Amino acid sequence: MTKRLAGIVLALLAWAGLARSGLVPAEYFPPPLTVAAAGWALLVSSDFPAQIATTCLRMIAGLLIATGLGLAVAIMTGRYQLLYRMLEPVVGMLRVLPPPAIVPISIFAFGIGPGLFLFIIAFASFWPIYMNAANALQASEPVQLLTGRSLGYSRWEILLRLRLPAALPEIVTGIRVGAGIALLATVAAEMLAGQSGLGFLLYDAAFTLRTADMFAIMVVIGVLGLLFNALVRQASRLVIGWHLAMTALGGSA
Amino acid sequence: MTRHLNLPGLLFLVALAIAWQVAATIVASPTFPGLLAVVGALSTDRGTLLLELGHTLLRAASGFAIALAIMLPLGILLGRVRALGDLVEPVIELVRPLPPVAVVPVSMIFLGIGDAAKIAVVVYGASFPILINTIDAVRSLDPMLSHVTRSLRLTRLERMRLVDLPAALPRIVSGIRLSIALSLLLAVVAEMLLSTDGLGAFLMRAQESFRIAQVLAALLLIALVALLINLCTHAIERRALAWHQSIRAVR
Repeated sequence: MTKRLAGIVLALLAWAGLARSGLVPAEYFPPPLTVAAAGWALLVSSDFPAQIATTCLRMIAGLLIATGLGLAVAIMTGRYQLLYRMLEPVVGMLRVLPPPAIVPISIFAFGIGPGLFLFIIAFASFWPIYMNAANALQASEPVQLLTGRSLGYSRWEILLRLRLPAALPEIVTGIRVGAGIALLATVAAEMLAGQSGLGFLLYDAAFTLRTADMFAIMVVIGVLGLLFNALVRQASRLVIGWHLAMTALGGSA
Repeated sequence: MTRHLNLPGLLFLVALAIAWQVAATIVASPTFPGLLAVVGALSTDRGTLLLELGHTLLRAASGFAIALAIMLPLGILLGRVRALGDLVEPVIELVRPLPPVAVVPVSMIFLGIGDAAKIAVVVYGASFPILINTIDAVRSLDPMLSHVTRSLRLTRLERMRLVDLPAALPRIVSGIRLSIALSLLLAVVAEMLLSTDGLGAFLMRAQESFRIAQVLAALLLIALVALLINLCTHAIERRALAWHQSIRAVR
């Protein structure tokens, strides 16, 4: 713990030293205390907390949509092999698209409104969630299948009662990757098409050269990322705690 | 390793393409171009598109190359020298949750809107997957390897280059693959935000002037190029790691 703190303290000291040294213009690169003060001023302002909430809501709603759709499609492709094969090339083409690149076409389709953000965020995080779930459902243990069959399970029962639980660890991994991409997509969409949200504020602060605000907003986005990670990790513990306990990966996960 | 032709998949792709074209013909609205119109835009604008693609790829590639050249050795060093790694790792963990897109404004303030600013964003984003995977990979190497290097009296540098790098390569490569995808993404985003040229800027210009067929043409091009890059990295990976998989198979 002291070592961890030491690294962070050193980094902060280096930041402060560089900012005060005059090597970089101070108005471009304010020292940590100035940024902290700017951040505090933002946090107690009337508008800023609402903007944080806007960004969080978009991100969480988009991720939830992507998770629901991704799992539903993956379960269908797990049940019907033909569907999996049919979707393969389309999925292959769409999932390599950088999500921010679909912002312009989505603006045509949705206009600039809540639908636009939900679509882009859900599009971005859908692919890792679907890919991980679908691939995990494709690979199943023959013994499990035979056991299921000898218990008289139907194909749907085998899928939902045996293959789905077995695939859960990988499904959770997909959702965690999707969550990371959701934050990226949210910030990118807000920067590109936003009139609200942290991404928009960040870009606005940079354009009006309010650098202390800009760094403070970046810190807030980073903290959001940390919190979001922790939240998804806790949720995944609830879902696959049994798996982590069995494989003794609980500490490192 | 045999690649089956995915007939249902191809048929579905063709069916989608036909359905798209038919729907567009029925609606006949300028805001809903069909596949033919998109392919038409792709071919009439191919000169511009290829030029912009060149800009984008050059930025993505140079950013990625710089990130790789710095982060690979640094990752091995931080993975090998515990004390250094323990000091730096919390800082990496603290900075990592910030999505790399959020660095674009900082890059703009320091470097303007030219090539340097865009490449800097790519370097920043492409660095993390390589650095983190390399540190982890080197740390989790079999301790026996380091005993062997000691009995062979290798110097620290030799040990990192001759033993740690190849042994950790499989995990490093998965970091590199992530980092390549991220490089393309960030090059496009940086061009969209700091628009001067490149496919990202092309996308924004086409959107602002309501040329939807061009937007879709650019997207199609990006998807094709990304697929091609994927295929290439897979081929290189298979070649570079052939020895590794064969070793695993013998075990």
